[in-house]
Amino acid sequence: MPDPAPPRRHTLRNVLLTLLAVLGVSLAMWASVPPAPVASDGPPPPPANSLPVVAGLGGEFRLPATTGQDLALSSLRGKVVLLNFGFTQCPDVCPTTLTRLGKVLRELADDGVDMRRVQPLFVTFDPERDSLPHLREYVAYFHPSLIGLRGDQDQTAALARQYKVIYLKQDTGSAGGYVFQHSDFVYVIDGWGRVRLLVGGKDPDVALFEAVKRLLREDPA
Amino acid sequence: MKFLLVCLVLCAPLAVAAEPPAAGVSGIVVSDGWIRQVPPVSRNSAGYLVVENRGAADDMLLGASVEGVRVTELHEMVRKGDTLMMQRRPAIAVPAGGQVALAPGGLHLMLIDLQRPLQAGEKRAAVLRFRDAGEREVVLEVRAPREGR
Ligand SMILES: [Cu+2]
Repeated sequence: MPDPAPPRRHTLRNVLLTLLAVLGVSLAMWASVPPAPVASDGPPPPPANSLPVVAGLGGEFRLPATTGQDLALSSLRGKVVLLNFGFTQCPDVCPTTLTRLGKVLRELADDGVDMRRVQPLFVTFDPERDSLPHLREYVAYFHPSLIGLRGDQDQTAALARQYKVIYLKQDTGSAGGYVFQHSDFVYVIDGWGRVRLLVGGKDPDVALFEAVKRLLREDPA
Repeated sequence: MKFLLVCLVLCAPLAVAAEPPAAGVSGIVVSDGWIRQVPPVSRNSAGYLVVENRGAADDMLLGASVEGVRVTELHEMVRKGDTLMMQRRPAIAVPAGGQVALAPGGLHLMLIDLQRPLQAGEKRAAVLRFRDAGEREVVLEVRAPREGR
């Protein structure tokens, strides 16, 4: 990974890709998405009193990971996945989200949850500046089980579209270089790889804690 | 034991010096200054503090510099719908009789290019530049944010 390249090089493409993502979100908000048909041999529908499947986003992905290998969502069957997006030069929002993620993970462990069944992931949308070794050190600081994912620009944009993540590269004239305007949801994904809840920055930590416990109860290993 | 006593006597005023806010003639009082502890691999962090203006005239925070940090800028996190965006601010107004909190999720001192990693509990000297009150020396303590926020 070379040192920070001049930010302008990819700006146009990024803006275009992100505009596409934004368009996707708007479309999803206006179109009513019919419930996905469930094949008889597919995942069981969630219990009526539990969290519904979030329609219109999510799905399989495979990206290079800080474990040294590619990581596919489908390899995490049976685990509750907490998926979060950001960039390591983000000084305020991303560390806040990751700090709370670490705190909730520790609370779950204290509560007796089998932590082998919970997998937190952090995807960078800044592959230009976030190398895998850098990302590895960064995520480990917040929680030892956190895995960082880093695709190339196209993989990152594709995953963002898939999950309706908004990220827009911005040059604010800061000495720190470009930053991203971005959404800050944590995606709570069940053992079948389906998104079941989006937890925003303003939602309480307990929402995350409860969602994990609920999904684990629903789908005993 | 004697050493401990000497240390207590010597260190106590230092620890206290950071705490009680001192109002100058202008009435600008700065308190609760801290820096977000970040992974050692991070090159950026954020500084937070509360500026109170006990004076009768409006003032403005124009800039800051922090020990061991190459560039410090004034920034603000702005929420737009489901997204957050960091903006650079040329100045932060501190109205007469009012106070402004630089806090996570909002206004902050943007610390760019940490020249050495931040150690928890470490105290960094900083200078705040105000339009009318001039330069103010403050101490920012490095700490992990409370419960994420
Ligand atoms: Cu900033």
